[in-house]
Amino acid sequence: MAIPSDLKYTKEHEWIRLNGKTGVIGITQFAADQLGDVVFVDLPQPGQAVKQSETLASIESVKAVSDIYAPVSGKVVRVNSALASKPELVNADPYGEGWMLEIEVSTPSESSSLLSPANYEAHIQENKS
Amino acid sequence: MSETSSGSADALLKTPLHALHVGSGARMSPFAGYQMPVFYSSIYEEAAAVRGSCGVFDVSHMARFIFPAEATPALQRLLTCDVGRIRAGAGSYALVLSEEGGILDDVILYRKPDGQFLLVVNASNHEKILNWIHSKIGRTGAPQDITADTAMLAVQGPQAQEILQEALTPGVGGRTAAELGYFGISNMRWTIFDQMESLVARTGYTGEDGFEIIAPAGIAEKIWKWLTETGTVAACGLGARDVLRVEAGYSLYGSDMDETTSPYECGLGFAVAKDAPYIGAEALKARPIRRRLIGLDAGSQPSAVLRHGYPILSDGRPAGQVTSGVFSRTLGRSIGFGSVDAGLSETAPLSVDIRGRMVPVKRGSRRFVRDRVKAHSQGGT
Repeated sequence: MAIPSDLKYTKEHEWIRLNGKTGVIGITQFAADQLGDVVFVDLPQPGQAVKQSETLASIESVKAVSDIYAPVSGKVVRVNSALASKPELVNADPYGEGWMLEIEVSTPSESSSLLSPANYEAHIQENKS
Repeated sequence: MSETSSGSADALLKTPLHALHVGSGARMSPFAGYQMPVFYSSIYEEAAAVRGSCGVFDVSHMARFIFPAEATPALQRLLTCDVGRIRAGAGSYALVLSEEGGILDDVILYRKPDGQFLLVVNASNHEKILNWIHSKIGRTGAPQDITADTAMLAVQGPQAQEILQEALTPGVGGRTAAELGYFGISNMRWTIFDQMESLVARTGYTGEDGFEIIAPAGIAEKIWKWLTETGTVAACGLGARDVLRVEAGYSLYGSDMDETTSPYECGLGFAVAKDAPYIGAEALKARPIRRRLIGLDAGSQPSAVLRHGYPILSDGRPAGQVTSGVFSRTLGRSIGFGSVDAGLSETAPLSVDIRGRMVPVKRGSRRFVRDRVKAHSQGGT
């Protein structure tokens, strides 16, 4: 399973694509495969502020509800409204059309606590064994 | 993302099909002490295959006990069905009750063509029920536990009969797949595998026509491969099985019933034979009915998935809780079961507290998908 090299990751299987002051957030292919069919993604309202590691959204699969945590602190500027009618995009294209939301990063230094692609790959290998 | 289900795989039991599941990339998860496949590709695609054509489930984790023909009186003490009325080649759904009339397990008892009994018990209750049997009827007359030596496959869907008819012929004195009535059981032989024998019963947990096959562990892989590779049957996991059983209105032990529940409190009164001398019969007569299990429909929005444990309210007051729920793609609706106070009016408005959000729900029948099971009412003829 290819792990995109342009993203930063959390141990809880979120990814963030940092671009200057903003970052686009989603869940990884590994997480999407573990969840199975996504039924619903509960996204926050734009404007909502969130601290690093706090619950940012929740994702409902057939079997369970899981919380999605903020990789870094910030303010939600945009959410992926396509997920309302097509939650399966999270399964089909988690790094692309299945993105969840974009935040304006408030504390850029926090990104140093995120995992590199290589470290994230090592983390999921550990998880599997 | 918060962890969903995971756990140490070390201490878990494996079914005879475990290697095939892992090899095909199934998402495995601990269930009742076994490592079991939850899905292969997609829970919804697997559920759709069962409704539309045919799917196969590995249900080898369920416990299988063989009792001698002379065990009729002992089984009548243990089970709520009328054991004496089950003829060879037939079967019955039944409950195991505690002395207090609470449900210890829900089971199926078959009488094999040779007169022996086969009891199929929930995997989660395997040890508990075995200990219960030992404590009630003693070790003499105790059953033979054939769980580890056999595999059990559920072949479910409108095409199940046609597919099995092709590969199985009746054993001595047995019947074909087409000749079996609901809960009927027969010895059959695999024409495609050197006449190897299996027990085949017409039953299931999906609301579709279908069969459950008990085969020697050594030929389980062959059967599975034949079904999924040449027989065009979809490999299905426990995730699809849960969606299908909720759609069909079937209760799950541990979710919709447990030792605190009497049969009448979870819609299983039909499984209790009148005047049968089973353990718990006297207590059950005197036991007040405090709850009812009802069907819940939360509408067409997938944002309103009902989950076990969510509170049910009526006019803002606690009225019960959700015991099972799924979003059904078959129906395009969020459905489930709820255990509500027996005194609640049938027309009382209900809502479910979905993590702080009040969602109105409609009360109705638990059989959301119906009239798809062949010969459901004919008994084991």
